Amino acid sequence: MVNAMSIKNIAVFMITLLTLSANTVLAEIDPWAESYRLESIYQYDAALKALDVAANKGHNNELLSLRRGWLHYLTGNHSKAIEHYKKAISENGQSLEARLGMTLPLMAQQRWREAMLEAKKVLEVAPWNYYAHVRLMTCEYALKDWTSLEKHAQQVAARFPTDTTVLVYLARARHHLGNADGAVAVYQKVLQLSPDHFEAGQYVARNIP
Amino acid sequence: MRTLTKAGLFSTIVTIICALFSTASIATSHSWQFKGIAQSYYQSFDQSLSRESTFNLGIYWFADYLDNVSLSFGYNYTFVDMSPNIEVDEHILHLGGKYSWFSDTLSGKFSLALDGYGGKYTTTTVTSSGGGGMGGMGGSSRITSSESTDISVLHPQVSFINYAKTYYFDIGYAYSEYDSGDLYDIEAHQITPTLGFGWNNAYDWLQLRGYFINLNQQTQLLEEDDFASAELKYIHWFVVKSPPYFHNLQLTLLAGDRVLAVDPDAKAVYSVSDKQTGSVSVAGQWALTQSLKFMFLVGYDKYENDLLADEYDSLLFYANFQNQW
Repeated sequence: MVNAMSIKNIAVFMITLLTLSANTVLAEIDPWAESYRLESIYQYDAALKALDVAANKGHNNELLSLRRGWLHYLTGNHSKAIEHYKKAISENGQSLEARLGMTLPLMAQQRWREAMLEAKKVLEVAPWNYYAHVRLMTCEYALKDWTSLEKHAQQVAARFPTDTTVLVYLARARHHLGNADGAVAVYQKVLQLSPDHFEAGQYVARNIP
Repeated sequence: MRTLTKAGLFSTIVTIICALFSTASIATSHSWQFKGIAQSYYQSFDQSLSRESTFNLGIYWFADYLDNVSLSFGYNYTFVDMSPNIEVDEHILHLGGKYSWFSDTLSGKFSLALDGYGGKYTTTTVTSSGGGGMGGMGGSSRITSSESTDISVLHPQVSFINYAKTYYFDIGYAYSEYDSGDLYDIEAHQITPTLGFGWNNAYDWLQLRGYFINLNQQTQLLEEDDFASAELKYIHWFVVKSPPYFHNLQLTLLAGDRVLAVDPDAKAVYSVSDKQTGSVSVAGQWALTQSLKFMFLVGYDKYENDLLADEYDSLLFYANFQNQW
């Protein structure tokens, strides 16, 4: 009887101990680490939810807004993403990251002119910011503004001569402006940098007899 | 007298265009984009008992704020030479606004547009009285009488286009009132459902629009009060090159009856036409520079006037220049 009681007490004690330990472990999980972990396995909604713990703990609002903006963008909830990036900008008006971040959901919603405006604001402060230039070129491409794109891509290619993304934009702009020879010359450069580049290979094959 | 009026009108239009263009040239903000259109058309009628020709001059001004807001202003002057000795002068002002918002659920853009039109047309009739004479107390005299009709139109429209620009939908309603004092007060209700389809990377576009128009009363000119027609429009955009180049080709067909129609795309009110029973037109647009475009359209239209049992057709020549800043 005594033994039975002791075993029962030990069992209750062990369960209590395990429950407490588990709660302690759960409580100690860093919400940011958890959010990054969930993002890495494509569970974006859960990654967003994990941030609520950080918000409740009063973590930095600017970083939370940036992170939420990014995760909403990944879930395809672009309007929400823009809302959070705007919040991040209002929290830190100097943030170039927030403006660059906001270009992504704006471009996803094909709000090219708004995205261009944000990229240009970044370039006012950081004239050769690579991401701002590439996103600006994406907008110029989408708006079929070939003259601006050619001039722009040429300037950026001079600063980033081994970047195939910029060179492809330059080649496409030249093609649309009717300058096939100029486009071939640029695509040949792309092939030097990336010999298996499909678009460049196809264009050069089609345009060189 | 009319020559003076036309000259005055022309200088007014030129002044407005210059003022608007100079506004655009000083606009340095990246947030605003402006587009100005100066247009004119001449329509000559064949085998008509009542009409000789129509002449139009118009300007439109569009101001877009980023991707969300669009404002428009327009002015149109139309002169109709009717036979015998009847003329119609029409002045119409247009003001419009459009707001767009973006849906992640449906992956597309919704727009709510509201266009308003206000103006007046005046029908002037010149009649001769008396017989031949030798001057002095005898001879004929010319009597000029005119009637004015006030025009007011309100046209809301909701539209949706997906981001890939492969399909489009809109529905518009137009309420038009033609008030000629004691003579008549016609109200027209128009509903225009529209479907559009794009393909070939948005280089081709096909659009079908229905015009369902109901008048509050039958008139002497129109023996019925319900009108239905369908408009089919096909546009092909050519691959962009270094200007000048052929920018796009547009074909439009209209079948069925249409009267007092409000055209949502052209932002035009067809207020001084008889009942339109069919139409075919072809238009080409050239990009002259990176920002300047020229459009030329030739159209063949069929009309009916029930009062005069007059069935006739017309040739339309339309041209516009548009510039973007």
